[in-house]
Amino acid sequence: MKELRSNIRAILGAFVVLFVLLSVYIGYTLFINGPRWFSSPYNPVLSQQKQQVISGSITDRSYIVLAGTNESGKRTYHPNAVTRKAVSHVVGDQAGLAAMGLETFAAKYLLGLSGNVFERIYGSLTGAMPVGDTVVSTISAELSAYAYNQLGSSNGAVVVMNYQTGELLALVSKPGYDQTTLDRTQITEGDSFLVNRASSGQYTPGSVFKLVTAAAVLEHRPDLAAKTYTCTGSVAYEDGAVVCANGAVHGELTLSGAVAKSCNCVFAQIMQQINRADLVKTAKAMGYNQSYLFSDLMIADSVFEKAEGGVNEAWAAVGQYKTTTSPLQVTLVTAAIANDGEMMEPRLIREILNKRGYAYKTMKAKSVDRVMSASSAQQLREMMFLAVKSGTAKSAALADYTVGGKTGTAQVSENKAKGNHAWFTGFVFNEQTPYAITVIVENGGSGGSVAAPLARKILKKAIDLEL
Amino acid sequence: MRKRSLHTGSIVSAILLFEITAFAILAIGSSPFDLRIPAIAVGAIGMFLFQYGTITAFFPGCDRPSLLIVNFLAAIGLIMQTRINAEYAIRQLLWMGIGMVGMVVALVGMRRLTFWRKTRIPFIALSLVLLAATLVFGSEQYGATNWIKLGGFTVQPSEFVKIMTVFVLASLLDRGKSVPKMLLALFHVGACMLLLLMAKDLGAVLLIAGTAIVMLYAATGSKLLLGLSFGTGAVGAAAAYKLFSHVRTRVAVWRNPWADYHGSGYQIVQGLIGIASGGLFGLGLTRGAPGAIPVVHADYIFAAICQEFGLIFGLIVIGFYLVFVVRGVLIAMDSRNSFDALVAVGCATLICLQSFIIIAGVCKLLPLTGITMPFASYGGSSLLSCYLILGVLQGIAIKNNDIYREEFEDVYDRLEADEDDEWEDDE
Repeated sequence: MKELRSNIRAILGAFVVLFVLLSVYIGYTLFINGPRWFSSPYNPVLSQQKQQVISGSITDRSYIVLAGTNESGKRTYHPNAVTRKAVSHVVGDQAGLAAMGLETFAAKYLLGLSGNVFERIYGSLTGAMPVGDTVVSTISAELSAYAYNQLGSSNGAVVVMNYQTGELLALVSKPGYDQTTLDRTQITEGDSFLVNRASSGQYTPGSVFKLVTAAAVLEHRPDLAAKTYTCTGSVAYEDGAVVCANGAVHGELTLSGAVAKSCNCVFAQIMQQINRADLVKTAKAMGYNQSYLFSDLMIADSVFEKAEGGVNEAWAAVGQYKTTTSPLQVTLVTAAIANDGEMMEPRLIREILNKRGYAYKTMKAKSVDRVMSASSAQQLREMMFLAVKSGTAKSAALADYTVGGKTGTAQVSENKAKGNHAWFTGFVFNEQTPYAITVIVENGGSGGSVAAPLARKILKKAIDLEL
Repeated sequence: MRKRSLHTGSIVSAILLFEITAFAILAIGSSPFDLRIPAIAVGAIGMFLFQYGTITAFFPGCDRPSLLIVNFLAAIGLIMQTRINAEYAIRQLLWMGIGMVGMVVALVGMRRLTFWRKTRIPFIALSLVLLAATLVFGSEQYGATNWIKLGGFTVQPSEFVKIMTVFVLASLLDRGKSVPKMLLALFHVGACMLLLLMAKDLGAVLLIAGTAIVMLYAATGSKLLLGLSFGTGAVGAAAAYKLFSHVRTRVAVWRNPWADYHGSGYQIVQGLIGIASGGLFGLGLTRGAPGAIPVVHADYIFAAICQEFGLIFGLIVIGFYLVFVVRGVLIAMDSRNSFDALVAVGCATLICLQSFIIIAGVCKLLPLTGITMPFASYGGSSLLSCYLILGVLQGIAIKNNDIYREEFEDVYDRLEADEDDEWEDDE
């Protein structure tokens, strides 16, 4: 009997542990995932609330209304059609057709569900229709519209982010859509205009990925960075050859020169010497092969698939092969380089105003992680400065400002007529204007001649707007 | 035994206040005014007071905390069923009445009858016949063949098999352990699990396996057997995963329910959305949308509770289950013979694992298995079996108290003479 009692006491302990675990798990999972589950377009409570609440407004960072509710309860959007389209992916649509954007992600605030209990009780007593809160976004409508126009007739995306705070100043995806004419009946499966290319696009990064490979070298084999390599225009493998773009022969280069001139052959030679696992590790630290859960937006998972040796391994190291990423992910890497190796969480919500206009909630900068050492970040910055000064990214140079950048020209199809995707990613190195930028022009041609000049204009605009 | 007395009066008032408020909100919110709601309220409150009053009056040695907790859980369940569909609540109320009768029968039977130790062979036979009959004649509901039609009622035999299993194991694992007895225990548990697996009643499989392991450890205290049974369980689970496609589907849906939102993932996703919508304090009774969650009145009642009453309330409900389980285990530790102790541990384990499995399933900690939330979920067989378990536990508690009183009769007499009526309020 005595032994039985002591066994039973042990069982009691196990039961208590079981229940404590369950409670902790529920609290934890709701803390992490709750807002996302709640904001799901499948949530019946949200659609129910939309009938009973005057939805709050969404404004840009200078309080220009991007979406609001008029007296008759109808949702209204920015009066200018170009601006509407430029910010459409950030704002989203209220019917949830795109099922993304702040209309969905910030629904808790817009529908006033986060407000205090007393106000809700008071509201239900007076019978007044409750009014939701105003969500102030971090984006600038003017900069977004400017970037949208700059893309011209091409599809593509532009991301401008404050690399110190993670605030997104522009998150533009072209084509955008016009909420005032968006019609459920017109949408068919796989309509790509509803996809936010800036955060959910899955592009081949091409040479902008060299920043990740260079970081891996600096982090794991700093000795290789100082060595000099010779580019003869191609490096042969058993199953093919890696060549430099447009048949260029770069001659003698260090890692720094290889980044500035975007030399594939030197990267291929370095790749033969570094540990494959180190590159995978660095890529993972930078956000490849992982799922980020950001609170303000969804980002598509970026994939870095290492090949098992041969020419494909070398191609993977320069961002070809099966590597895919989103412009936002590319921006995060550049921003981390500019920010001394610390990656900030990209944010779209700046503050929440209650119906009296009082900002009761101001969002704070959040660090995702330190993704590289400060000294690696500094060396990468120097390489990117060099690329703008004398390398492929010359046309991104801005008078009076120190700009670092990296171009990319991603081959997307065997068909030459279709044209490559033109990439540019870079940053302005300045305390007052800490902007990181990424531009992709689909089938636009070469990154240096198409994307870099666009980035320069957009950065100039951002500086002029004093954001 | 440690005699504790409680200010139970205030707890009774708190439960009453909760029920009256909730039913008032439901009644006022119904349009047109639904007369069934006040009727359900009167029935529920009357049943609670009558049951609690008579049990405590006739059996002063009963365990009041567990009795109160059960009434509270049943009240929450009934309130949510009324809110979802009053028809469910009326049937649930009927089953609550039957359950309470069952509880008294189990209580008296446990206290007065002495043949329970010898019931193992009939119980094994009955369990296997019932489960086999369900497989042959049963009807499928929510993907599991675990219902059988008897006249106008549908019964879920597995709910009763689990209680019989506790008795069978207690009698086999009690004093005088021998190899044949252990093998018989293994045969019973194995056969039940196999039949339940064939009926796709995964929740019951998990429940019986877990209870058997806990009882085995209680009786033997052998770490080796514990490790061995967990090992067998793991191998069995892996084999079930390989052999049965419905097990694989469950696991796949658990890992990513959003992948098949419009199909098999719908219930889990809506459950998670429901819980998340409630926030800390809930949307308020009648203000949520629990109707979107399939089977919300039964297995998924926890999601509805969290949505309208909030996460904090949900955690309190979990806390109540824990207190109930602790009371059950204390009753086991107070028992004067090992058979009673094992039965009480088994009963406490059933409630513990059952509430854990379903709440963990709803919250996506474990793959979802169809099983009811004790005392709160809709379901006749489930409710009756829960009340039978409560009755067994109360019977053992009263028996413990009877023996205690005999041993310390003279001390009691003196105390009662001294303090007379104040006894209930001391300490």
